[in-house]
Amino acid sequence: MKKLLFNLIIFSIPLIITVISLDLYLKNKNTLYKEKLKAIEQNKDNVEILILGNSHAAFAVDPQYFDYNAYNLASVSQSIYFDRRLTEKYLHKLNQLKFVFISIDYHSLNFSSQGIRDYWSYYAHGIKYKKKSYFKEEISPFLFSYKTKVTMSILRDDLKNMISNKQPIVFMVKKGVCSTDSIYNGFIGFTGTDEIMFNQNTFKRKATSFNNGFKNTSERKFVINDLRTFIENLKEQNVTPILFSSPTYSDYNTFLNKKNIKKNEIVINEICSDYNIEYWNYSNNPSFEKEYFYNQDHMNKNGAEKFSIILNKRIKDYEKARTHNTVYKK
Amino acid sequence: MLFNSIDFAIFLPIVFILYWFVTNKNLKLQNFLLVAASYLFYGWWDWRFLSLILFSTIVDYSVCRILQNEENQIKRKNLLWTSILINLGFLGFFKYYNFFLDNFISAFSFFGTEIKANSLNIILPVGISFYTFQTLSYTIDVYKRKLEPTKDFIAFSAFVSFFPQLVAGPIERATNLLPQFYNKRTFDYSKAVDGLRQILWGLFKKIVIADSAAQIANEIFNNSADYSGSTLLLGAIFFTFQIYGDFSGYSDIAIGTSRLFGFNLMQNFAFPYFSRDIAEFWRRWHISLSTWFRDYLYIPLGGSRRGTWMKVRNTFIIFIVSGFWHGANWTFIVWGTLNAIYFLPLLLTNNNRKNIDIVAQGKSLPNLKELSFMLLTFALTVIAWVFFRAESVSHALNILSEIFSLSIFSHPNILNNTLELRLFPFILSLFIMLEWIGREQKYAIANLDLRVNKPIRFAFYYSIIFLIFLFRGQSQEFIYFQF
Repeated sequence: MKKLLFNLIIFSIPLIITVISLDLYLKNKNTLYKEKLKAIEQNKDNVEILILGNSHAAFAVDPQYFDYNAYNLASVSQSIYFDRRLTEKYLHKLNQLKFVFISIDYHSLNFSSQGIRDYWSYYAHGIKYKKKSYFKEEISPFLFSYKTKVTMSILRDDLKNMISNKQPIVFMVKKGVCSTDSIYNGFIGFTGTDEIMFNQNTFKRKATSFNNGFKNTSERKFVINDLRTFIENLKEQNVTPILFSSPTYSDYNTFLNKKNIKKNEIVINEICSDYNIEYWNYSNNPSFEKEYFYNQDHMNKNGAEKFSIILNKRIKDYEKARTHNTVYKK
Repeated sequence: MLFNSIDFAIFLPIVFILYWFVTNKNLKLQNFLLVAASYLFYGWWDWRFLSLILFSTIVDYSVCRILQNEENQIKRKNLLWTSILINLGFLGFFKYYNFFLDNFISAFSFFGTEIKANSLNIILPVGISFYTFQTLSYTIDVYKRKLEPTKDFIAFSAFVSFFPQLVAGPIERATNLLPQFYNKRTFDYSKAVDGLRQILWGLFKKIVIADSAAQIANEIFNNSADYSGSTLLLGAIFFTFQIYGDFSGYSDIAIGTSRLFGFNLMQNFAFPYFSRDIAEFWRRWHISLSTWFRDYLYIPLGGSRRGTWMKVRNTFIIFIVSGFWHGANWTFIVWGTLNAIYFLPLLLTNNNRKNIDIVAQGKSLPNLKELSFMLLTFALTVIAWVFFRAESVSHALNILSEIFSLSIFSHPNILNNTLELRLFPFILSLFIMLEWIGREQKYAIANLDLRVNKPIRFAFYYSIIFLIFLFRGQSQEFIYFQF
């Protein structure tokens, strides 16, 4: 028995050292979440518009095209659950905040968890998903949250950058984002168009992947109630919430379930009428052609520019109408 | 609790330490620890169903205690049938109630009579098919006076609920496993090391081979209408490796874990994809179930003793029942029937026991004839697995008709293309090679310590562990849990 235990310990030492080293590396790794947090802390006295949502909003709204000081706090897979908690966490610090743009996409009302990203955002913001325990994830990010695949890709990117001696961005971003781009008020965009993603099969697969969420009615109810509370809280603080949907590619839209779109519309219209707020829906806007998209449902930098200019004009018109107490023309 | 979970990685060392360091001086206490650990292991999934295991344990223990002193043949038979009906009654209710109800309604509606009946939302207790068959074998053996019934309730409870093989086998015979609970176990270093190695190999098969193959197979089967014949064939081949890696991986972990506690379980898989005919395949695939059906169904039905017709009938019965055992769906019944059809020519020409040795024994490579027969057998099993995996019989037939169309000559194209999937064909080839090299052993890397020196062996183990960590993101439940 002693021999077995001794050999097991000897065998395990390199494994334990590897895991501990990777944990230390990951704990100190700068992520896009941490980067956005740092930037919003620095801009807290200036931010007038906060943009929330998942990757659709993260890649579609570029704050540099706004006349107001806008900040993009949207992140990949970020759900309304996290939109609300994130905003409420920083709301008291953002003393100039006037508007909060809440992205409502085809699937937004059906999911409150961000999957594995619940942990990644937890490391930066400390926001827990529901009452979930993060005990294991605190002990070992490598074993329980980043997993080997992500860790390897972070290591690989770091090594590549070290070898090429670039001045790369130091946080994890997605494929399609140029690693030498800089982040501006929370925004970093996709470059070009990924042609492989523009085919019927990919559209169909992506659209149907969201449909299962619609069957989970209790989750949907939870998300809708959470959104309502979020809107109430914002209004209490004299911040105007604006619901919006960023453009998705028209051919892809044809694969989205019409019934589900209708269901969403009914809910959003009810919320808008209950709280007297705006919903700016660009999800099926034909003026956004393929050249403005990186893939079927994410805009590239050109698309973000075009869309942000539209939003900027609209928010200015809306604010003008509001201050002059006239009717805002949609 | 899943073998491929962190929970199990914590659970196993704790039980191991308590077993060898705290309870090792008292056999009863050691057995009790195994029962408690097994109930915890099972209850981790859903504690409510522990009552089923306990009830089944009490019924079979009591029936066999009465059987021991009962000489009246009618009463003995009644006792046996009580146990069979109770055990199969639970199995039938939890597993087959909705299937029979739905088919009953469909049959009546076919003849123009509409029947209104609601299906029940029944949760299938994990492993019920496995432990039911294990306890049944005990009662039948006691009834046939092949086995003395045990007086030791704790030992019997440990036999029924022994956690390494409780939820997905191997389905142990009481004659093999139960006596092991009567005798004091002594720690054996080489046995424990071998057990750990087999656990590692099982985890590799499950996490690296089965779960990766599952990603491709699921994508193709779930969207079969979008794919050409060549891609569908690829999907069927990947499922063939998925189910092997999944189930034999589970068996390896179960056997390896048992060895850590000083127990020997039967071999459940013996490199079935290197079989030269379908009869050999069934001697090598899920051995514990095949032999169970042989001993408790095929032979009592008359086996091959009463002429050709009876032999054929009995063969069909065991294959169909075996298919049905896997699940309440017509796909499993067709899968079983198809295997019986494959078996038939060998049976009728008395060639079903032609290949009882190991292919190319003592040689590095098979000869051309062996290779051809191996490939043919593999192809037949791939076709049969399509029924096993498909959602319905018509789904399977659609897939097969596309495979046997001209689109088989098109270039396969899978949309899901991650780093692991690009790596996977290389790893799969390496896996097949290792399985081939180790095919004369109980599992592929069983004699690694005899073949290579320590540094290479450790490097090999570290590589396996690295791959397990790399691929673990797509973890899926063991397929056989649903049976």
